[in-house]
Amino acid sequence: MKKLGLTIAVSAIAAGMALSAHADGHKHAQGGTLTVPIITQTFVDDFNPYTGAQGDMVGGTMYEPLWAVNAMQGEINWRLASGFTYDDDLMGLTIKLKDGLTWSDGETLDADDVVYSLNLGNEDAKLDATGQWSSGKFVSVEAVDATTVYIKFGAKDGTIDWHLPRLHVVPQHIFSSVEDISTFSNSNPVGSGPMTEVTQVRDNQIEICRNPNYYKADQGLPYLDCIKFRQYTDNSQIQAALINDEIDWGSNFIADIEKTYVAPNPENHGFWYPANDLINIYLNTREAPFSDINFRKAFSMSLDRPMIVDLAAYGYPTPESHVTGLGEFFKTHFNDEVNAKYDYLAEYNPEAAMALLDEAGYKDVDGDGFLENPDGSAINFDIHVVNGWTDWVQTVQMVSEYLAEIGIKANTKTVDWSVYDSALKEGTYQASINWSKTNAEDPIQAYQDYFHTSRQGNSWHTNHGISSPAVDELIDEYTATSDADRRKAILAELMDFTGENLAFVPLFSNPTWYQYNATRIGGWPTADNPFVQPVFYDSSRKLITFEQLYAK
Amino acid sequence: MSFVLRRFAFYFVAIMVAITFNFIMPRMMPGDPVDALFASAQGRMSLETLAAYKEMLGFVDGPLHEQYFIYLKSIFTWDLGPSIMLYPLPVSDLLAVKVPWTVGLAGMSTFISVFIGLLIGTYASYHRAGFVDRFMPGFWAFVGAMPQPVTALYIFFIFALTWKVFPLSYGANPDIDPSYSWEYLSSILYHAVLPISSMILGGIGAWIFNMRNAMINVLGEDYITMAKAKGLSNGRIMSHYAARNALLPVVTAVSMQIGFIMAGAIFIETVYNYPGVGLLLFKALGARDYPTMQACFLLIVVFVLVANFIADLLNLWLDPRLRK
Repeated sequence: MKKLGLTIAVSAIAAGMALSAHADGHKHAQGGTLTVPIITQTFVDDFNPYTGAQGDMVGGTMYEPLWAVNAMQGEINWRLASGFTYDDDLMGLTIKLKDGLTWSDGETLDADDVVYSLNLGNEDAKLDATGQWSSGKFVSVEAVDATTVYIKFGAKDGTIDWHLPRLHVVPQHIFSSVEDISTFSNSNPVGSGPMTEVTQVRDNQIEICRNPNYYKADQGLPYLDCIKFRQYTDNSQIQAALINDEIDWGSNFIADIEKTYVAPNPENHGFWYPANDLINIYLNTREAPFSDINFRKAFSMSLDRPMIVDLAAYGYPTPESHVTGLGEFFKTHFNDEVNAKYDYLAEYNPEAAMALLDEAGYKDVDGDGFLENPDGSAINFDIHVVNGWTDWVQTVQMVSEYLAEIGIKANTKTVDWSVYDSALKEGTYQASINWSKTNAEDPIQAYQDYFHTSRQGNSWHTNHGISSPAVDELIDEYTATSDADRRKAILAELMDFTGENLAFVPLFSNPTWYQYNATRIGGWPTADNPFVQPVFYDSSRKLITFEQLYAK
Repeated sequence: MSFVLRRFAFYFVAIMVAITFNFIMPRMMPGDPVDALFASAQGRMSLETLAAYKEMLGFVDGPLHEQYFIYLKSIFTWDLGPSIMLYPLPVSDLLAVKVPWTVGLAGMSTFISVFIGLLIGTYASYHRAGFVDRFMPGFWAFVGAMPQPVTALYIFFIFALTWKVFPLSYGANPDIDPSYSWEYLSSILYHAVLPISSMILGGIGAWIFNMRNAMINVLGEDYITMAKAKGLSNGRIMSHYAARNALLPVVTAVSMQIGFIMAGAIFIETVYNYPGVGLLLFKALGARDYPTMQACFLLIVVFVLVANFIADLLNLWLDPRLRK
């Protein structure tokens, strides 16, 4: 009991020191270099956040976002901004910046820089990093005072805060004198992030080091002095470099990782593959046999998902046990009541599947061992998968085998990307495996992508033939309200709609590929310390991860 | 002189044909590079970004013949356009960095394997049925029969990954400043050991065979008997009488081999992440980076034709009969 009391006292002190101390209560000495791989042909002297030429080096290092969304913790990590508030009518957003911010060259960073950066997207669609000008959401942007920015919307919206972390806040005093920003190389970057000083640019290595004027310097951040980016051309080289301790942070597929990477040095070599986006087989419900909900249900019940994950994808993905549209990534948003209604559809139950088909009138009329449609026509369809995406090809092959077991003839069809892409968008496929938008800022984006009619033809996931004006309205209502209870109710309705109609058959959640090497660097997120989803290719999550890393 | 001019005209026509093929081939392939770029991003890129890329890269369709003349003009002005996978980096800049590595790699390995191959071949033919003659050609043919990528992967696995005595990738240690210092140059040599060895292992057998067989033919000629009768030393007969004549078919074979050596460089550079043209071409193919692909193809064609031209000139020097 005494011990507990002490712990509480200590954490109270720690909380009091929150401004100067670290989230996990530790403070680390500064120094050290983190080495990370980048897959490219050659590095170039280009640090323009807008060209995306070397976006993975610029994002989360040189340009600090307003805030970062940490979906795994369900929280907002405040960066340049200290808060935002929507207008009561959801027709505008006020952003409050922190006081005393500076650029790495010592100039003041204030609301004018943010307004300037936002307005760039209005002048040129290529610089519209948040996508809110081209969608017509933003009407105008103004600086209220030195640390306050006001954005006026064209329509009610309570979701704009999801998109703003993508904004690159760039220095007006540098960028305003650039003639054409889309071709500007920005080789002497002036930024606001933890690492801004470029100390080395070679075709196979770039090193960037500490921002001398970082706004979190008084908290001892960043702990690391420099990041060294090394050029590799494919996964297999990164695998070798990780094994030989040449790099610290991998985000790549590593074959047989326990044996090749962890086993030689179990103390320091580790990996953690938390769930990412959900992988579904989309069914074109416009044509038989997919037009029949009983057929779709039987399809889903015929699959042994854990077995598919183990055999086709090395066991790294997380098998899906619900059919309501969201994967493990958004497990905090699962609605147990709705899930319970449909979870039997995600269970491996070939007998029930066959019984359901039999009841619905699917019989083997011509005696070839495969079922025919109730009208007597043969069932024989293709499941599309992109040529060369080997784990998915194997997955689809297994799906076809499971379908064959309940008497359905399905073929794995490997196609070129362009064929696959247009078939999905135009709704000319029969069945096709694809990812989903289930790893963004909010679950509503997934349903928008699954069902909203405005996405038809643009998205791979909408043209399966199931939509409804009521669902469109629900989705629109969600974005135009900030009432948390109402949002929850809408999500429940959408989940129910998804489970009831089964326009796609969920398989598993992709893993987040993440390997760490603790030989030189500590502070990594792990399964035991899951403070963020460790995605290197996302500026926000990279920044949150990076901030905890220190040299041992 | 007319021989040289005739050959030159032939090579010019050959290059024009190559350029034309080079123009047509990628345009007949399905899909466009921006879609491929999008596919490789596997959903990490938004549709708005995709549209912006298309506009930025100028993927506008003009009539084919207009595109062709623009293409011809750009080649002769060495303005090869921006690379797609590394937009907006110009392809000419990219090649300027990559070409020296490949020329070094292919040149060094060809030189070493031809030199050693010829020595062994000559020695073997002169000492028929000796140990070298019995063992070497068979052994190296066996080694060379393994596909080059497999040989390279074995060497990589043993020396770089398991024993860690040679580096895994790059042309030189990225931590050392590029300069003409011994430190940097030795790093280049150190990094080149495995790639060059892999290329030599694949190619040397052919040279031993070529030279040995050519020498055996020549050694049966009357003028060798004549030289022996004159009482010349074995070494002098071998180098001055036999080898010079035996070299004629070998020189032609070397020039024919340049194309295969470039193909080998693609595998070797990919295995060792060597910063050369071969690896660039391989990746450009995957990314449907037409400008880079075309430049690489063109460069390889020019390499091969120039090598053939040099071989013609060499033959001219070695074989007085051609000079008429």
